[in-house]
Amino acid sequence: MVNLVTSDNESFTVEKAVASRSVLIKNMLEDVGESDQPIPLPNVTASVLKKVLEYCDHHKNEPMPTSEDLAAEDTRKRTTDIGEWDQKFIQVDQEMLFEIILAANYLDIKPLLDVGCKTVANMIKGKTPEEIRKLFNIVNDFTPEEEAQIKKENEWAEDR
Amino acid sequence: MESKALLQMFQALVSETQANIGPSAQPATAERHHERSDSVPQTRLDEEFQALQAIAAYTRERMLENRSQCNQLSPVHQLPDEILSAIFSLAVRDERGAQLFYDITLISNVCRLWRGIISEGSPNLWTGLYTLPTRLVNVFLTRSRAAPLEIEFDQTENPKATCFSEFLHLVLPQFHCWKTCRFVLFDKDDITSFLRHTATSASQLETLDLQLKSNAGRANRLFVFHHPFAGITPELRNLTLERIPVPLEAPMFKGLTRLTLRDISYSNIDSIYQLLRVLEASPFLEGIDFMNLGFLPIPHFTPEAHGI
Repeated sequence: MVNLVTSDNESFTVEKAVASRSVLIKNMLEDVGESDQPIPLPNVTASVLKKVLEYCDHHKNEPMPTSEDLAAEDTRKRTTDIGEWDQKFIQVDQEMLFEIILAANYLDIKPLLDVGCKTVANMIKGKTPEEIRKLFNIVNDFTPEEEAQIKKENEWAEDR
Repeated sequence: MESKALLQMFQALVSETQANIGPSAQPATAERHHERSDSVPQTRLDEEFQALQAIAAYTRERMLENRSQCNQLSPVHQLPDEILSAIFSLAVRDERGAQLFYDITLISNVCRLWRGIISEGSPNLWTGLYTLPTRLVNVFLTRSRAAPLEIEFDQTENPKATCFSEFLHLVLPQFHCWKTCRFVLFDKDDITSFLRHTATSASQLETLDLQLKSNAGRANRLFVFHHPFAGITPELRNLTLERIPVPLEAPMFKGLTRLTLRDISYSNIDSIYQLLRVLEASPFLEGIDFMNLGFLPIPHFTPEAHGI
């Protein structure tokens, strides 16, 4: 078992197979060898780690993506399809979604990072700039000159 | 708003205004609005107008800064730029994974931060030059930086597209960055013009697809005498040629994983043997598609005599 300590000082004791879905933790465990020492995770809060561990537990028996897999995954051909379980798992509020993405990035859990990025990408797809602003609480901060350039680029895009 | 902040803002406003209208400027007062315009000297009115313009400009600028700062606080902007860039890259693809320029422009119209990430920090979004109008080619080339390019010009999909020679003229200087080249053209002079420019190595080229389409009764016969890309295409794996008889002894036929040859008549008497040698030189071929190939009659087949 592995003991993980979050930024808000909460401890989680999890199976090694679950914790090792994180490349960061896996490498730490390999470096220190057998040890009872808790692993501090200063960039992850308890509520987020709980969600991350739920994901890792569900996927613990799946093969880890190899470097060849990652190299073969041509980003140019990637789609935004998400598995059924992952879709339900990632149905959280925006704040938690972004926290999960940040944690996946920090803990180096590539498949979870992918699920998070694809979810945000799907939220953006098919929306107008105004709808996207509303969704993410963003305001239009373009100068009149930038607006003019944008208008020109929009015309070019529509011409295609 | 606290009075201190208001005071600071006003001080900034006064200095900004003075800087714009010079040291002689006097602040306008409300009372002056009631003076008859014929009693106010023109110079003072001009100064007031300048002051008001400066105030308006400062206010506009400050409002935009304020909005940009508000945007920084949006939860989505907790994500680092490289993750946002990856998200945008996923959001601008259709169900087959093809990149949609229209969607790129939509996302870049959301706010300055997103526009900056897309324009400056996402070169991979700008690498697919698919039959682009010339005014867009330079935008893509600048923003893709040195990332490997996918160059495509297909006249069958958009016959009214930009003139090929103009497109070629713009993309040729980046030849060393080409990863994919797909030209589907009706005019053999366009193919000839392209091949004439292939005297240098194509170090990153992985896919080459050159198709000369039949064009309303024109014979469209083409002769290629030289070895394209100076015979140096170390990464080339996927080759398609239609109606383009590149000599089969050209080094570009080595090390392929997919080879498609269509509607080609080879005039060299040795061509059939050369084709067999091509197959021998690509031991990892996964796919072959030969259609309507013409060879001169074989006088007498002796493989040993042809080094096979």
